[in-house]
Amino acid sequence: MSSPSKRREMDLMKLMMSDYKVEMINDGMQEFYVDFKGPKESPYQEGVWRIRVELPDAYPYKSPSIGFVNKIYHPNVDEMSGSVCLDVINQTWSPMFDLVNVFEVFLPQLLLYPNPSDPLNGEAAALMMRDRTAYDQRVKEYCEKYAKAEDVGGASEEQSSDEELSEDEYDSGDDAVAGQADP
Amino acid sequence: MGKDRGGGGGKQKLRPPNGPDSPALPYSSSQPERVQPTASTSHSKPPNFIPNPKKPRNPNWVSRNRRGPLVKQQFVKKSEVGSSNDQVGSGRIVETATGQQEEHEEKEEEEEKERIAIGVGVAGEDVGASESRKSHEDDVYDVVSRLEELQLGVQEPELSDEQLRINDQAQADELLAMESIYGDLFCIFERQGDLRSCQIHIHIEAPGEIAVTTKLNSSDHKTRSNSSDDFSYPFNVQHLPPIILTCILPKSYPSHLPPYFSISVQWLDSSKISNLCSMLDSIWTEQSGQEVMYQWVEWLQNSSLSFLGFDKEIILGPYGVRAAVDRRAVTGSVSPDVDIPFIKSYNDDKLLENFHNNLHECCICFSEYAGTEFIRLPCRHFFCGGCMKTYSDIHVKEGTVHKLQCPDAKCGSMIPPGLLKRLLGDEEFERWDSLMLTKTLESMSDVVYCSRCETPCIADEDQHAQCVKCFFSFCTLCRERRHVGVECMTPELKLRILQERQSSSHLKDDQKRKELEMINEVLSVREILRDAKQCPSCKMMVCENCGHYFCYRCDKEIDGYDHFRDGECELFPQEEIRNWEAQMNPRQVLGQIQAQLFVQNGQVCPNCRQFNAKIGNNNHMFCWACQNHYCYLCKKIVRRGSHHYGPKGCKQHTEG
Repeated sequence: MSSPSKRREMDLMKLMMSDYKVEMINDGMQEFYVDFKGPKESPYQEGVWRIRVELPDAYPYKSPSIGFVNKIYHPNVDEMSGSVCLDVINQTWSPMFDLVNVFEVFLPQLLLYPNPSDPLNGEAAALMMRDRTAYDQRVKEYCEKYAKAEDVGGASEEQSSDEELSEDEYDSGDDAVAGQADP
Repeated sequence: MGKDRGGGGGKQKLRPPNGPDSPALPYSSSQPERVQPTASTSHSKPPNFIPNPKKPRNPNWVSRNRRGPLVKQQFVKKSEVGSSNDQVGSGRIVETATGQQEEHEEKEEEEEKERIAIGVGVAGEDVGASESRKSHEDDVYDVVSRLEELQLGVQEPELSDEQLRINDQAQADELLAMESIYGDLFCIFERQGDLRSCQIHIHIEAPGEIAVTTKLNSSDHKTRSNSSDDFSYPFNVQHLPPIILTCILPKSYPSHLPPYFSISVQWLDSSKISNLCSMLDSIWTEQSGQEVMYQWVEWLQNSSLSFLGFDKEIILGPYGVRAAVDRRAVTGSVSPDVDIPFIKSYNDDKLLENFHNNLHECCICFSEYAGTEFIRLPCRHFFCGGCMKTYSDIHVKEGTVHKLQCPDAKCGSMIPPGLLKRLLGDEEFERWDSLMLTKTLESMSDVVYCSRCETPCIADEDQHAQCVKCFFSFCTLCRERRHVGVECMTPELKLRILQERQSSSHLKDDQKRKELEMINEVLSVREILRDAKQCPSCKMMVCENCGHYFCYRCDKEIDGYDHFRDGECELFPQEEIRNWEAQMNPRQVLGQIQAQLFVQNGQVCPNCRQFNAKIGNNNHMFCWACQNHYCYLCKKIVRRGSHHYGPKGCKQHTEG
């Protein structure tokens, strides 16, 4: 493979240029987090999710794996682990697709039109088929509970918990921080 | 047609006469190697158009020039357009062409063959055709003889030596300037009888693509072409075959006379070229006495198309119109079925050449390579060789051969097998081939495999098939010998019979073994069926082979979830849901409950961000959601507890 990293770099850069908040996990350009907003015109539109993207070695010939970090109620997403079925992406994947495609086209489409042939969350699939309104309602509930903007921002690094503390205890902020610093 | 008997000898200057000068063509054998103008009479002055050997030889241009008069024959006989097709034509013309021939070592044999072939073909033409051909020959003179004519027709004024010297200097300067401006496109020839001569190829390019249509109707009455009457075959090109301007500079140029010139264009008809010639004349007249060639070339390059009215669109033809034309106009235009392929293929060649000479970026790996590194598919998409190879290898290795199409997202057209063979290598190509065959056969519903020799056979209706190899006639449902009127043996029955036979004594050893294998097979099939029943909690299933959806419960092919909405089949029968919940890991449930109860003491899992409660003092956390172990204190994933906790690491038991 000729310069495998060049393609990854370009894709990452393009993703960052398109106003997505990207956070690398390590420096290997293999995995990273992206913040993703639910598509408009769907019950998911209020939600913000943190998505974990993993690029396999054979990228771009193989599709990346996508996982939702915070909970989402969707027929094709496993509720516990948040992983999206690989086959769904792989079936339509082409080496010319890039990460921006995934976030601009593929994920919104998946949320708007779940793929019934492979329900990881069978209950969600059944509910969707049985009673669409109830399904929408449930989706919104989950968005309220698990997919608020704070959920996504707060779950990132350890430092954020420190930040939260210092924000809350603003008056005694200095003291509190100083107190913690001493081992 | 004595004039045409040209210089077979002209060529010989650079090379001794040999094979390619076909013996079929009569040569005036007495041609001296280098023809001096004084030695020849006006009738048969063999022009010596051998280019200055110091010039870098562009093998294409001379032939293009000569293609003009000779194109018709070659297209009648050969469909291939290329620069090698310049030796075609009848004997006479070829002779002259030979006289002009440059050294084309690589093309000589080809030309030789062509010439003979054409000669034969020419002989075989009908009388009618040959008559028209002859009249074409009248029109179609080679450039040389025309220029000769011009030269002869003009009486050069007597000039003083001083004037001659000035002119000579001016000419030399001008040629030098032209050469430096136009480079390879401009070529200086050997002197024609002490006169300078040169030729330039003027390329007309239309980067914005210009449309070319054809007007077949030769009637002069029509002023505008009506598409209903005229057959128009529009196509776009970016590169047009060049205008070739050939000049001989008289001694009194630039002071008194303009250069003798001839314009040769492959695709324009004579009348239009004549218009161009008149325009060149008027350019000279406007500023006679000065060097004019540069103006001519510039005008031809920039304004000729619009002068002819071809700004937006070029109209070929009219064909079959005979008009009084300028002798200096040399056309190669013959008929639409000849011109159109020629223009198109010239354009394609030029585009390909440009592609090869430039750097391009592969859209898969974003690396830049020269155009030659790229592989272009029939669907016109191109990718670099490395990417194509990796792409093919991965798919063949994984067996997903059906996805091995054009990598372009929306295209999906097939990759030619020859190319695949090159990319994959023989062994992998074999594998690809057999995988494709297997997958295609599997997707065909009426293909069954014979149980004796495993060859694929086509099934008839009535569930019957006969193997073409071993002629075994079998039932397609159970793959046993054909049983007419009786139903297939159920697996249970078969199993029972086989098991009974196992215990019987009068079975030979290998037969017993075979039947034992069959028993195992039936048993494992039963196991598989059992598993396959329990796994999907949802009743909808999709076939892995052909992708169709069907209801597991009632075995009907369905289109989506509608089948479950109104009808008997439930998508999620209650019992299944209960079973599923019961099967769910009780530890998970416990973990979840604990997480909800002991909210104050817990930490989110670093892997899946689910909240886990800390139990007692133990800092070793086990996430109920993703089954990962991690440490409460440092929030890192723990692989080996003994390594992580200890005097050096985190404390395993702490309060709070």
